[in-house]
Amino acid sequence: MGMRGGSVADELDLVLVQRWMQGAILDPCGASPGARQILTGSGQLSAVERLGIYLRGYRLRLLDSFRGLHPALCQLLGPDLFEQFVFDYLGAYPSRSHTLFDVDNRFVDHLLQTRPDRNLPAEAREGWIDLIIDLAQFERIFVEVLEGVGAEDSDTVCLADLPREPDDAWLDTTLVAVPCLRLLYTRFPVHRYVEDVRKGRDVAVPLARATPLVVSRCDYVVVVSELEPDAYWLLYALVHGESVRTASRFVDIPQGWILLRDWVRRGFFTTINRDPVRGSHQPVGAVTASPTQG
Amino acid sequence: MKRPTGSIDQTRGPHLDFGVGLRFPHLRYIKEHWPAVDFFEIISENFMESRGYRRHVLGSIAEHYPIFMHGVSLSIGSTDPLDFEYLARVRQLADGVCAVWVSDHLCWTGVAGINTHDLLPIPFTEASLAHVTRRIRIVQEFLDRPLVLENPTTYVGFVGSTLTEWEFLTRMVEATGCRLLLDVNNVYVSSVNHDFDPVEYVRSLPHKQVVQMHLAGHTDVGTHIVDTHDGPVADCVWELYRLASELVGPVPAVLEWDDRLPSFPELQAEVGKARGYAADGHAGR
Repeated sequence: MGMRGGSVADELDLVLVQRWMQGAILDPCGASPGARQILTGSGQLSAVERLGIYLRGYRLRLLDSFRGLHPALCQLLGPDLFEQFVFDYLGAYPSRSHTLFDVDNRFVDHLLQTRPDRNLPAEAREGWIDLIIDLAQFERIFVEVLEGVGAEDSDTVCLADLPREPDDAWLDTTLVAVPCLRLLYTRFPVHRYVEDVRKGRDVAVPLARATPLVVSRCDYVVVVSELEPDAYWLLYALVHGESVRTASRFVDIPQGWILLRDWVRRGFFTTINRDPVRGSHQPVGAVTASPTQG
Repeated sequence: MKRPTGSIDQTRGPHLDFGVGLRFPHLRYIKEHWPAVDFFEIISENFMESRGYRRHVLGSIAEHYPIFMHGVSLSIGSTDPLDFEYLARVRQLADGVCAVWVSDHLCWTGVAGINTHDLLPIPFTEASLAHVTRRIRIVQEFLDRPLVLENPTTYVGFVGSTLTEWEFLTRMVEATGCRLLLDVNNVYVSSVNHDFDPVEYVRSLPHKQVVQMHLAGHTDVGTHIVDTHDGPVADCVWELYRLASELVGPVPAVLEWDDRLPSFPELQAEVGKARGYAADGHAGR
Protein backbone atom coordinates (compact mmCIF):
# COMPACT_ATOMS: atom_id res chain seq x y z
CA MET A 1 0.00 0.00 0.00
CA GLY A 2 1.17 3.45 -0.76
CA MET A 3 3.28 5.49 1.62
CA ARG A 4 1.85 8.75 2.84
CA GLY A 5 3.82 11.95 2.66
CA GLY A 6 5.61 13.82 -0.07
CA SER A 7 8.32 12.50 -2.30
CA VAL A 8 9.84 13.27 -5.64
CA ALA A 9 7.64 10.59 -7.17
CA ASP A 10 4.49 12.48 -6.06
CA GLU A 11 5.27 15.00 -8.72
CA LEU A 12 5.74 12.53 -11.49
CA ASP A 13 3.15 12.73 -14.13
CA LEU A 14 0.97 9.64 -14.57
CA VAL A 15 1.84 9.58 -18.25
CA LEU A 16 5.53 9.35 -17.51
CA VAL A 17 5.04 6.72 -14.82
CA GLN A 18 3.04 4.52 -17.16
CA ARG A 19 5.46 4.92 -20.05
CA TRP A 20 8.37 4.15 -17.77
CA MET A 21 6.68 1.08 -16.28
CA GLN A 22 5.59 -0.32 -19.62
CA GLY A 23 9.07 0.22 -21.03
CA ALA A 24 10.55 -1.67 -18.09
CA ILE A 25 8.13 -4.57 -18.51
CA LEU A 26 8.69 -4.88 -22.25
CA ASP A 27 12.47 -4.52 -22.00
CA PRO A 28 13.94 -7.94 -22.86
CA CYS A 29 16.98 -7.15 -20.73
CA GLY A 30 14.80 -6.46 -17.72
CA ALA A 31 16.47 -3.11 -17.20
CA SER A 32 14.54 -0.92 -14.76
CA PRO A 33 16.49 2.22 -13.93
CA GLY A 34 14.64 4.42 -11.51
CA ALA A 35 12.52 1.64 -9.99
CA ARG A 36 13.51 2.53 -6.45
CA GLN A 37 12.45 6.14 -6.96
CA ILE A 38 9.00 5.17 -8.24
CA LEU A 39 8.04 1.80 -6.74
CA THR A 40 8.00 0.56 -3.18
CA GLY A 41 9.69 -2.60 -1.97
CA SER A 42 8.17 -5.03 0.50
CA GLY A 43 9.64 -6.83 3.49
CA GLN A 44 10.59 -9.68 1.17
CA LEU A 45 11.28 -8.07 -2.20
CA SER A 46 12.99 -4.94 -3.48
CA ALA A 47 11.23 -2.56 -5.88
CA VAL A 48 13.18 -4.04 -8.78
CA GLU A 49 12.27 -7.59 -7.78
CA ARG A 50 8.60 -6.68 -7.52
CA LEU A 51 8.70 -5.10 -10.94
CA GLY A 52 10.23 -8.35 -12.16
CA ILE A 53 6.97 -10.16 -11.26
CA TYR A 54 5.23 -8.12 -13.97
CA LEU A 55 8.06 -8.65 -16.43
CA ARG A 56 7.90 -12.44 -15.98
CA GLY A 57 4.10 -12.40 -16.05
CA TYR A 58 4.12 -10.52 -19.36
CA ARG A 59 6.54 -12.97 -20.96
CA LEU A 60 4.73 -16.07 -19.67
CA ARG A 61 1.30 -14.83 -20.71
CA LEU A 62 2.34 -13.92 -24.23
CA LEU A 63 4.41 -17.06 -24.67
CA ASP A 64 1.50 -19.18 -23.50
CA SER A 65 -0.77 -17.48 -26.02
CA PHE A 66 1.68 -18.13 -28.82
CA ARG A 67 1.93 -21.79 -27.81
CA GLY A 68 -1.84 -21.99 -28.14
CA LEU A 69 -1.86 -20.28 -31.53
CA HIS A 70 1.18 -22.08 -32.94
CA PRO A 71 1.44 -25.51 -31.29
CA ALA A 72 3.02 -27.10 -34.36
CA LEU A 73 5.64 -24.39 -34.80
CA CYS A 74 6.49 -24.75 -31.12
CA GLN A 75 6.85 -28.50 -31.62
CA LEU A 76 9.07 -28.01 -34.67
CA LEU A 77 11.39 -25.44 -33.11
CA GLY A 78 11.47 -26.74 -29.56
CA PRO A 79 10.57 -24.54 -26.58
CA ASP A 80 13.76 -22.48 -26.35
CA LEU A 81 14.02 -21.53 -30.00
CA PHE A 82 10.27 -20.94 -30.18
CA GLU A 83 10.55 -18.51 -27.27
CA GLN A 84 13.35 -16.64 -29.06
CA PHE A 85 11.20 -16.32 -32.19
CA VAL A 86 8.21 -15.10 -30.18
CA PHE A 87 10.07 -12.40 -28.27
CA ASP A 88 12.03 -11.29 -31.30
CA TYR A 89 8.64 -10.71 -32.94
CA LEU A 90 7.09 -9.05 -29.90
CA GLY A 91 10.12 -6.79 -29.60
CA ALA A 92 9.39 -5.52 -33.10
CA TYR A 93 5.60 -5.69 -32.89
CA PRO A 94 4.26 -5.52 -29.32
CA SER A 95 0.59 -6.42 -29.09
CA ARG A 96 -1.88 -3.72 -30.02
CA SER A 97 -4.83 -6.06 -29.96
CA HIS A 98 -7.62 -6.27 -27.39
CA THR A 99 -7.50 -10.03 -27.47
CA LEU A 100 -4.71 -12.55 -27.28
CA PHE A 101 -6.13 -14.37 -30.33
CA ASP A 102 -4.79 -11.64 -32.58
CA VAL A 103 -1.40 -11.19 -30.98
CA ASP A 104 0.35 -12.95 -33.91
CA ASN A 105 -1.27 -10.86 -36.65
CA ARG A 106 2.10 -9.70 -38.04
CA PHE A 107 4.15 -12.73 -37.11
CA VAL A 108 4.46 -14.10 -40.66
CA ASP A 109 5.33 -10.65 -42.03
CA HIS A 110 8.02 -10.37 -39.39
CA LEU A 111 9.46 -13.77 -40.27
CA LEU A 112 9.53 -12.80 -43.95
CA GLN A 113 11.19 -9.47 -43.20
CA THR A 114 13.85 -10.93 -40.95
CA ARG A 115 14.74 -14.25 -42.63
CA PRO A 116 18.53 -14.15 -42.99
CA ASP A 117 18.43 -15.22 -46.67
CA ARG A 118 15.78 -12.69 -47.72
CA ASN A 119 18.07 -11.03 -50.25
CA LEU A 120 18.83 -14.25 -52.11
CA PRO A 121 16.79 -15.48 -55.07
CA ALA A 122 13.91 -17.78 -54.07
CA GLU A 123 15.67 -20.89 -55.38
CA ALA A 124 18.77 -20.19 -53.27
CA ARG A 125 16.91 -19.78 -49.98
CA GLU A 126 17.06 -22.19 -47.09
CA GLY A 127 14.30 -24.79 -47.07
CA TRP A 128 14.04 -24.94 -43.29
CA ILE A 129 13.19 -21.24 -43.17
CA ASP A 130 10.48 -21.80 -45.77
CA LEU A 131 9.12 -24.56 -43.56
CA ILE A 132 8.98 -22.28 -40.50
CA ILE A 133 7.19 -19.57 -42.48
CA ASP A 134 4.75 -22.02 -44.09
CA LEU A 135 3.91 -23.46 -40.70
CA ALA A 136 3.42 -20.05 -39.07
CA GLN A 137 1.24 -18.93 -41.98
CA PHE A 138 -0.90 -22.05 -41.97
CA GLU A 139 -1.47 -21.88 -38.21
CA ARG A 140 -2.40 -18.21 -38.45
CA ILE A 141 -4.89 -18.91 -41.25
CA PHE A 142 -6.32 -21.86 -39.32
CA VAL A 143 -7.21 -19.58 -36.38
CA GLU A 144 -8.52 -16.83 -38.70
CA VAL A 145 -10.91 -19.30 -40.30
CA LEU A 146 -11.88 -20.84 -36.95
CA GLU A 147 -12.64 -17.51 -35.27
CA GLY A 148 -13.63 -15.35 -38.22
CA VAL A 149 -16.90 -14.83 -40.04
CA GLY A 150 -18.25 -18.08 -41.45
CA ALA A 151 -21.20 -19.02 -43.60
CA GLU A 152 -23.16 -21.00 -41.02
CA ASP A 153 -25.91 -18.41 -40.79
CA SER A 154 -26.05 -17.40 -44.43
CA ASP A 155 -27.22 -18.98 -47.65
CA THR A 156 -24.62 -20.61 -49.87
CA VAL A 157 -24.91 -21.63 -53.50
CA CYS A 158 -26.21 -25.19 -53.67
CA LEU A 159 -26.00 -27.89 -56.34
CA ALA A 160 -29.62 -27.34 -57.31
CA ASP A 161 -28.58 -23.87 -58.51
CA LEU A 162 -26.22 -25.35 -61.10
CA PRO A 163 -27.07 -27.26 -64.30
CA ARG A 164 -25.40 -30.63 -64.82
CA GLU A 165 -23.66 -29.28 -67.92
CA PRO A 166 -22.61 -25.65 -68.34
CA ASP A 167 -24.23 -23.61 -71.08
CA ASP A 168 -22.88 -20.38 -72.53
CA ALA A 169 -24.72 -18.21 -70.03
CA TRP A 170 -23.27 -20.16 -67.14
CA LEU A 171 -19.75 -19.92 -68.46
CA ASP A 172 -19.94 -16.14 -68.10
CA THR A 173 -21.12 -16.17 -64.52
CA THR A 174 -18.89 -15.30 -61.59
CA LEU A 175 -19.10 -16.49 -58.02
CA VAL A 176 -18.42 -14.91 -54.65
CA ALA A 177 -16.62 -17.08 -52.10
CA VAL A 178 -17.74 -17.47 -48.50
CA PRO A 179 -15.75 -15.18 -46.18
CA CYS A 180 -14.06 -18.11 -44.43
CA LEU A 181 -12.45 -19.52 -47.59
CA ARG A 182 -8.65 -19.26 -47.80
CA LEU A 183 -6.26 -20.51 -50.47
CA LEU A 184 -2.70 -21.24 -49.51
CA TYR A 185 0.12 -22.70 -51.62
CA THR A 186 2.73 -23.99 -49.20
CA ARG A 187 6.17 -25.36 -49.99
CA PHE A 188 5.75 -28.15 -47.44
CA PRO A 189 2.67 -30.25 -46.54
CA VAL A 190 2.46 -28.45 -43.21
CA HIS A 191 -1.27 -29.14 -42.82
CA ARG A 192 -0.50 -32.80 -42.08
CA TYR A 193 2.14 -31.83 -39.54
CA VAL A 194 -0.25 -29.45 -37.80
CA GLU A 195 -2.99 -32.07 -37.69
CA ASP A 196 -0.61 -34.64 -36.19
CA VAL A 197 0.56 -32.21 -33.51
CA ARG A 198 -2.98 -31.16 -32.65
CA LYS A 199 -4.03 -34.81 -32.31
CA GLY A 200 -0.97 -35.70 -30.22
CA ARG A 201 0.46 -38.10 -32.79
CA ASP A 202 4.16 -38.76 -33.43
CA VAL A 203 5.43 -36.27 -35.95
CA ALA A 204 8.22 -36.27 -38.49
CA VAL A 205 9.59 -33.08 -40.02
CA PRO A 206 7.85 -32.79 -43.40
CA LEU A 207 9.83 -32.99 -46.61
CA ALA A 208 9.51 -30.24 -49.18
CA ARG A 209 6.57 -30.70 -51.53
CA ALA A 210 4.58 -27.89 -53.15
CA THR A 211 1.14 -28.21 -51.59
CA PRO A 212 -1.92 -26.29 -52.79
CA LEU A 213 -4.49 -26.04 -50.01
CA VAL A 214 -8.00 -24.75 -49.53
CA VAL A 215 -9.06 -23.95 -45.98
CA SER A 216 -12.69 -23.39 -45.11
CA ARG A 217 -15.19 -23.97 -42.32
CA CYS A 218 -18.26 -26.15 -42.09
CA ASP A 219 -20.54 -26.10 -39.05
CA TYR A 220 -17.82 -24.19 -37.12
CA VAL A 221 -15.18 -26.85 -37.85
CA VAL A 222 -12.13 -25.91 -39.98
CA VAL A 223 -11.81 -28.13 -43.05
CA VAL A 224 -8.49 -28.34 -44.91
CA SER A 225 -8.19 -30.00 -48.31
CA GLU A 226 -5.26 -30.53 -50.62
CA LEU A 227 -5.94 -29.68 -54.27
CA GLU A 228 -4.29 -30.57 -57.54
CA PRO A 229 -2.30 -27.56 -58.81
CA ASP A 230 -4.62 -26.96 -61.78
CA ALA A 231 -7.64 -27.13 -59.52
CA TYR A 232 -5.99 -24.70 -57.12
CA TRP A 233 -5.44 -22.10 -59.83
CA LEU A 234 -8.98 -22.59 -61.14
CA LEU A 235 -10.38 -21.96 -57.69
CA TYR A 236 -7.95 -19.07 -57.20
CA ALA A 237 -9.23 -17.43 -60.39
CA LEU A 238 -12.89 -17.97 -59.42
CA VAL A 239 -12.34 -16.58 -55.94
CA HIS A 240 -10.74 -13.52 -57.51
CA GLY A 241 -13.79 -12.79 -59.59
CA GLU A 242 -12.97 -14.40 -62.93
CA SER A 243 -15.83 -15.95 -64.89
CA VAL A 244 -16.10 -19.71 -65.15
CA ARG A 245 -15.05 -19.41 -68.79
CA THR A 246 -11.83 -17.45 -68.22
CA ALA A 247 -10.92 -19.37 -65.07
CA SER A 248 -11.19 -22.59 -67.05
CA ARG A 249 -7.92 -21.84 -68.85
CA PHE A 250 -6.30 -23.97 -66.16
CA VAL A 251 -8.39 -27.09 -66.84
CA ASP A 252 -10.77 -28.02 -69.62
CA ILE A 253 -14.32 -26.87 -69.13
CA PRO A 254 -15.97 -30.27 -68.44
CA GLN A 255 -13.34 -31.07 -65.79
CA GLY A 256 -13.61 -27.56 -64.35
CA TRP A 257 -17.39 -27.91 -64.14
CA ILE A 258 -17.03 -31.17 -62.17
CA LEU A 259 -14.65 -29.41 -59.76
CA LEU A 260 -16.99 -26.43 -59.46
CA ARG A 261 -19.93 -28.66 -58.61
CA ASP A 262 -17.86 -30.31 -55.89
CA TRP A 263 -16.86 -26.94 -54.42
CA VAL A 264 -20.47 -25.77 -54.53
CA ARG A 265 -21.50 -28.95 -52.71
CA ARG A 266 -18.89 -28.10 -50.05
CA GLY A 267 -20.35 -24.64 -49.57
CA PHE A 268 -17.45 -22.58 -50.96
CA PHE A 269 -19.62 -19.93 -52.61
CA THR A 270 -22.18 -17.57 -51.27
CA THR A 271 -23.41 -15.84 -54.42
CA ILE A 272 -23.83 -16.50 -58.13
CA ASN A 273 -23.42 -13.39 -60.20
CA ARG A 274 -24.85 -13.69 -63.69
CA ASP A 275 -23.83 -10.14 -64.58
CA PRO A 276 -20.17 -10.32 -65.65
CA VAL A 277 -19.65 -6.58 -65.15
CA ARG A 278 -20.73 -6.69 -61.54
CA GLY A 279 -18.92 -9.96 -61.04
CA SER A 280 -15.46 -8.61 -61.61
CA HIS A 281 -14.83 -7.44 -58.06
CA GLN A 282 -12.54 -9.25 -55.66
CA PRO A 283 -14.38 -10.81 -52.75
CA VAL A 284 -13.65 -9.62 -49.26
CA GLY A 285 -11.88 -12.05 -46.98
CA ALA A 286 -10.26 -14.37 -49.50
CA VAL A 287 -6.56 -14.21 -48.69
CA THR A 288 -4.31 -16.20 -50.93
CA ALA A 289 -0.69 -17.12 -51.07
CA SER A 290 1.49 -18.81 -53.61
CA PRO A 291 4.95 -20.39 -53.49
CA THR A 292 6.41 -17.30 -55.09
CA GLN A 293 5.33 -15.00 -52.30
CA GLY A 294 7.97 -13.86 -49.82
CA MET B 1 -32.67 -14.63 -24.17
CA LYS B 2 -33.35 -15.72 -20.64
CA ARG B 3 -33.46 -12.79 -18.34
CA PRO B 4 -32.89 -13.19 -14.63
CA THR B 5 -36.02 -13.64 -12.60
CA GLY B 6 -36.88 -12.49 -9.10
CA SER B 7 -36.47 -9.15 -7.40
CA ILE B 8 -34.29 -6.43 -8.90
CA ASP B 9 -32.49 -3.98 -6.64
CA GLN B 10 -31.97 -0.69 -8.51
CA THR B 11 -28.43 -0.40 -7.19
CA ARG B 12 -27.42 -4.02 -7.13
CA GLY B 13 -29.36 -5.46 -10.03
CA PRO B 14 -31.20 -8.78 -10.09
CA HIS B 15 -30.89 -11.27 -7.28
CA LEU B 16 -28.60 -14.06 -8.44
CA ASP B 17 -26.52 -16.29 -6.25
CA PHE B 18 -23.56 -18.26 -7.52
CA GLY B 19 -21.99 -18.40 -10.94
CA VAL B 20 -18.97 -19.79 -12.69
CA GLY B 21 -16.45 -18.27 -15.05
CA LEU B 22 -17.22 -19.73 -18.48
CA ARG B 23 -14.12 -21.38 -19.92
CA PHE B 24 -13.68 -22.85 -23.38
CA PRO B 25 -12.91 -26.48 -22.33
CA HIS B 26 -16.27 -26.63 -20.55
CA LEU B 27 -18.43 -25.46 -23.45
CA ARG B 28 -19.23 -28.93 -24.73
CA TYR B 29 -20.14 -30.21 -21.24
CA ILE B 30 -22.40 -27.24 -20.64
CA LYS B 31 -24.19 -27.69 -23.96
CA GLU B 32 -24.74 -31.38 -23.24
CA HIS B 33 -25.79 -31.16 -19.58
CA TRP B 34 -27.08 -27.61 -18.98
CA PRO B 35 -25.73 -27.79 -15.40
CA ALA B 36 -27.38 -26.14 -12.42
CA VAL B 37 -25.56 -22.84 -11.97
CA ASP B 38 -27.27 -19.50 -11.49
CA PHE B 39 -25.32 -17.67 -14.17
CA PHE B 40 -22.07 -17.59 -16.14
CA GLU B 41 -19.45 -14.88 -16.28
CA ILE B 42 -17.51 -14.51 -19.51
CA ILE B 43 -14.20 -12.84 -20.26
CA SER B 44 -15.55 -10.28 -22.72
CA GLU B 45 -12.48 -10.25 -24.96
CA ASN B 46 -12.68 -14.02 -25.48
CA PHE B 47 -15.99 -13.57 -27.28
CA MET B 48 -16.35 -10.02 -28.57
CA GLU B 49 -14.20 -10.53 -31.69
CA SER B 50 -15.05 -14.18 -32.34
CA ARG B 51 -17.49 -15.18 -35.06
CA GLY B 52 -16.67 -18.85 -34.62
CA TYR B 53 -17.81 -21.75 -32.48
CA ARG B 54 -17.22 -20.07 -29.15
CA ARG B 55 -19.46 -17.12 -30.03
CA HIS B 56 -22.08 -19.45 -31.48
CA VAL B 57 -22.17 -21.52 -28.28
CA LEU B 58 -22.28 -18.39 -26.14
CA GLY B 59 -25.49 -17.46 -27.94
CA SER B 60 -27.01 -20.80 -26.91
CA ILE B 61 -25.76 -20.52 -23.35
CA ALA B 62 -27.14 -16.99 -23.06
CA GLU B 63 -30.58 -18.38 -23.90
CA HIS B 64 -30.40 -20.61 -20.81
CA TYR B 65 -28.43 -18.57 -18.26
CA PRO B 66 -27.91 -14.92 -17.34
CA ILE B 67 -24.51 -13.68 -18.52
CA PHE B 68 -22.12 -11.38 -16.67
CA MET B 69 -19.41 -9.75 -18.77
CA HIS B 70 -15.96 -9.30 -17.29
CA GLY B 71 -13.35 -7.48 -19.34
CA VAL B 72 -9.58 -7.27 -19.19
CA SER B 73 -8.75 -4.61 -21.80
CA LEU B 74 -10.79 -1.53 -20.89
CA SER B 75 -7.66 0.00 -19.35
CA ILE B 76 -9.63 2.57 -17.38
CA GLY B 77 -6.47 3.86 -15.69
CA SER B 78 -4.42 4.29 -18.85
CA THR B 79 -3.28 7.70 -19.99
CA ASP B 80 -3.99 6.69 -23.60
CA PRO B 81 -7.29 8.01 -24.99
CA LEU B 82 -10.30 5.77 -24.39
CA ASP B 83 -10.80 3.34 -27.26
CA PHE B 84 -14.35 3.86 -28.46
CA GLU B 85 -14.10 1.12 -31.05
CA TYR B 86 -13.40 -1.29 -28.23
CA LEU B 87 -16.22 0.16 -26.16
CA ALA B 88 -18.60 -0.23 -29.10
CA ARG B 89 -17.72 -3.92 -29.27
CA VAL B 90 -18.32 -4.24 -25.53
CA ARG B 91 -21.71 -2.61 -25.91
CA GLN B 92 -22.59 -4.79 -28.88
CA LEU B 93 -21.73 -7.97 -26.99
CA ALA B 94 -23.54 -6.74 -23.87
CA ASP B 95 -26.67 -6.13 -25.92
CA GLY B 96 -26.29 -9.47 -27.69
CA VAL B 97 -26.15 -11.55 -24.52
CA CYS B 98 -28.34 -9.25 -22.37
CA ALA B 99 -25.45 -8.87 -19.94
CA VAL B 100 -26.48 -8.39 -16.31
CA TRP B 101 -23.32 -6.40 -15.50
CA VAL B 102 -20.34 -5.20 -17.51
CA SER B 103 -17.21 -5.19 -15.39
CA ASP B 104 -13.48 -4.66 -15.75
CA HIS B 105 -10.57 -3.82 -13.45
CA LEU B 106 -9.17 -0.73 -11.77
CA CYS B 107 -5.94 -0.87 -13.72
CA TRP B 108 -4.25 0.02 -16.97
CA THR B 109 -3.08 -2.49 -19.56
CA GLY B 110 -0.80 -0.39 -21.73
CA VAL B 111 0.04 2.99 -23.24
CA ALA B 112 1.13 4.27 -26.66
CA GLY B 113 -1.35 1.87 -28.27
CA ILE B 114 0.32 -1.21 -26.80
CA ASN B 115 -1.53 -3.85 -24.83
CA THR B 116 0.64 -5.76 -22.35
CA HIS B 117 -2.35 -8.01 -21.60
CA ASP B 118 -1.63 -7.52 -17.91
CA LEU B 119 -3.60 -5.68 -15.25
CA LEU B 120 -1.08 -3.06 -14.20
CA PRO B 121 -1.43 -1.00 -11.01
CA ILE B 122 -2.00 2.72 -10.77
CA PRO B 123 -0.60 5.03 -8.11
CA PHE B 124 -3.29 5.94 -5.58
CA THR B 125 -3.05 9.71 -5.84
CA GLU B 126 -5.45 12.60 -6.27
CA ALA B 127 -4.27 12.97 -9.86
CA SER B 128 -4.99 9.30 -10.62
CA LEU B 129 -8.38 9.56 -8.96
CA ALA B 130 -9.36 12.57 -11.06
CA HIS B 131 -8.14 10.82 -14.20
CA VAL B 132 -9.97 7.55 -13.52
CA THR B 133 -13.25 9.15 -12.42
CA ARG B 134 -13.35 11.33 -15.54
CA ARG B 135 -12.95 8.24 -17.72
CA ILE B 136 -15.49 6.16 -15.78
CA ARG B 137 -18.13 8.83 -16.37
CA ILE B 138 -17.44 8.77 -20.11
CA VAL B 139 -17.56 4.97 -20.27
CA GLN B 140 -20.81 4.81 -18.31
CA GLU B 141 -22.39 7.35 -20.60
CA PHE B 142 -21.22 5.48 -23.68
CA LEU B 143 -22.32 2.06 -22.42
CA ASP B 144 -25.50 3.56 -20.98
CA ARG B 145 -25.13 1.44 -17.85
CA PRO B 146 -23.16 1.55 -14.62
CA LEU B 147 -19.62 0.28 -14.94
CA VAL B 148 -18.52 -2.31 -12.41
CA LEU B 149 -14.84 -2.20 -11.44
CA GLU B 150 -12.83 -4.88 -9.68
CA ASN B 151 -9.99 -4.40 -7.24
CA PRO B 152 -7.03 -6.04 -9.00
CA THR B 153 -4.20 -8.03 -7.50
CA THR B 154 -1.05 -5.92 -7.35
CA TYR B 155 2.57 -6.76 -6.79
CA VAL B 156 4.07 -3.27 -6.54
CA GLY B 157 3.09 -0.10 -4.75
CA PHE B 158 4.07 3.43 -5.72
CA VAL B 159 6.24 5.75 -3.66
CA GLY B 160 3.95 8.59 -4.72
CA SER B 161 0.68 7.03 -3.51
CA THR B 162 -1.14 9.15 -0.97
CA LEU B 163 -4.32 7.09 -0.54
CA THR B 164 -4.93 3.52 0.47
CA GLU B 165 -6.54 1.27 -2.12
CA TRP B 166 -9.83 1.18 -0.19
CA GLU B 167 -9.85 4.96 0.16
CA PHE B 168 -9.29 5.27 -3.57
CA LEU B 169 -12.11 2.83 -4.38
CA THR B 170 -14.51 4.54 -1.99
CA ARG B 171 -13.90 7.99 -3.44
CA MET B 172 -14.05 6.62 -6.98
CA VAL B 173 -17.48 5.15 -6.30
CA GLU B 174 -18.71 8.32 -4.59
CA ALA B 175 -17.59 10.45 -7.53
CA THR B 176 -18.99 8.31 -10.34
CA GLY B 177 -21.75 6.07 -9.04
CA CYS B 178 -19.95 3.11 -10.51
CA ARG B 179 -20.29 -0.25 -8.78
CA LEU B 180 -17.68 -2.48 -7.23
CA LEU B 181 -16.77 -6.06 -7.95
CA LEU B 182 -15.07 -7.17 -4.77
CA ASP B 183 -12.52 -9.86 -5.56
CA VAL B 184 -11.98 -11.36 -2.14
CA ASN B 185 -8.99 -13.40 -3.27
CA ASN B 186 -7.35 -10.28 -4.70
CA VAL B 187 -7.80 -8.48 -1.38
CA TYR B 188 -6.07 -11.31 0.41
CA VAL B 189 -3.25 -11.61 -2.15
CA SER B 190 -2.58 -7.88 -2.14
CA SER B 191 -2.77 -7.74 1.66
CA VAL B 192 0.13 -10.16 1.88
CA ASN B 193 2.08 -8.53 -0.94
CA HIS B 194 1.67 -5.05 0.55
CA ASP B 195 1.39 -5.92 4.23
CA PHE B 196 -2.00 -4.42 5.03
CA ASP B 197 -4.94 -5.81 6.98
CA PRO B 198 -7.46 -7.45 4.63
CA VAL B 199 -10.21 -7.19 7.24
CA GLU B 200 -9.74 -3.43 7.49
CA TYR B 201 -9.88 -3.27 3.68
CA VAL B 202 -13.16 -5.19 3.47
CA ARG B 203 -14.72 -3.28 6.38
CA SER B 204 -13.79 0.07 4.87
CA LEU B 205 -15.43 -0.35 1.46
CA PRO B 206 -18.78 1.24 0.52
CA HIS B 207 -20.72 -2.02 0.91
CA LYS B 208 -23.92 -0.89 -0.77
CA GLN B 209 -22.05 -0.33 -4.00
CA VAL B 210 -20.60 -3.85 -4.10
CA VAL B 211 -22.72 -5.71 -6.64
CA GLN B 212 -20.66 -8.80 -7.20
CA MET B 213 -17.83 -10.82 -5.65
CA HIS B 214 -15.08 -13.01 -7.05
CA LEU B 215 -13.44 -16.06 -5.55
CA ALA B 216 -10.36 -17.86 -6.86
CA GLY B 217 -7.30 -19.83 -5.88
CA HIS B 218 -3.81 -18.39 -5.46
CA THR B 219 -0.23 -19.60 -5.09
CA ASP B 220 2.11 -18.65 -2.26
CA VAL B 221 5.66 -18.54 -3.63
CA GLY B 222 7.24 -17.58 -0.31
CA THR B 223 8.25 -14.01 -1.04
CA HIS B 224 4.79 -13.05 -2.30
CA ILE B 225 1.47 -14.51 -3.42
CA VAL B 226 0.47 -14.82 -7.06
CA ASP B 227 -3.14 -14.66 -8.23
CA THR B 228 -2.97 -17.85 -10.30
CA HIS B 229 -6.61 -19.00 -10.52
CA ASP B 230 -5.30 -22.55 -10.72
CA GLY B 231 -6.69 -24.29 -7.65
CA PRO B 232 -9.33 -24.32 -4.94
CA VAL B 233 -10.11 -21.24 -2.87
CA ALA B 234 -7.82 -20.99 0.18
CA ASP B 235 -9.34 -21.23 3.67
CA CYS B 236 -8.19 -17.69 4.55
CA VAL B 237 -10.07 -16.39 1.49
CA TRP B 238 -13.20 -18.32 2.46
CA GLU B 239 -13.10 -16.65 5.87
CA LEU B 240 -12.72 -13.24 4.27
CA TYR B 241 -15.63 -14.07 1.97
CA ARG B 242 -17.76 -14.94 5.01
CA LEU B 243 -17.00 -11.49 6.46
CA ALA B 244 -17.65 -9.78 3.12
CA SER B 245 -20.99 -11.58 2.82
CA GLU B 246 -21.93 -10.38 6.29
CA LEU B 247 -21.05 -6.77 5.47
CA VAL B 248 -22.25 -6.62 1.87
CA GLY B 249 -25.27 -8.90 2.00
CA PRO B 250 -26.38 -11.23 -0.77
CA VAL B 251 -24.72 -10.40 -4.09
CA PRO B 252 -23.74 -12.74 -6.92
CA ALA B 253 -20.45 -14.53 -6.44
CA VAL B 254 -18.33 -16.04 -9.20
CA LEU B 255 -15.69 -18.73 -8.91
CA GLU B 256 -12.83 -18.02 -11.32
CA TRP B 257 -10.63 -20.93 -12.36
CA ASP B 258 -8.34 -20.56 -15.38
CA ASP B 259 -5.30 -22.83 -15.21
CA ARG B 260 -5.26 -26.55 -14.41
CA LEU B 261 -8.98 -26.42 -15.00
CA PRO B 262 -10.93 -29.22 -13.26
CA SER B 263 -14.00 -30.95 -14.65
CA PHE B 264 -17.18 -28.91 -14.54
CA PRO B 265 -18.72 -31.02 -11.72
CA GLU B 266 -15.61 -30.38 -9.60
CA LEU B 267 -16.01 -26.69 -10.29
CA GLN B 268 -19.64 -26.89 -9.21
CA ALA B 269 -18.61 -28.58 -5.97
CA GLU B 270 -16.25 -25.69 -5.20
CA VAL B 271 -19.06 -23.22 -5.91
CA GLY B 272 -21.19 -25.21 -3.50
CA LYS B 273 -18.80 -24.31 -0.67
CA ALA B 274 -19.49 -20.64 -1.35
CA ARG B 275 -23.15 -21.18 -0.57
CA GLY B 276 -22.26 -22.32 2.94
CA TYR B 277 -19.91 -19.43 3.69
CA ALA B 278 -22.33 -16.88 2.25
CA ALA B 279 -25.19 -18.29 4.34
CA ASP B 280 -23.02 -18.03 7.46
CA GLY B 281 -22.17 -14.45 6.59
CA HIS B 282 -25.75 -13.44 5.89
CA ALA B 283 -26.87 -15.00 9.19
CA GLY B 284 -24.43 -12.68 11.00
CA ARG B 285 -25.96 -9.51 9.54
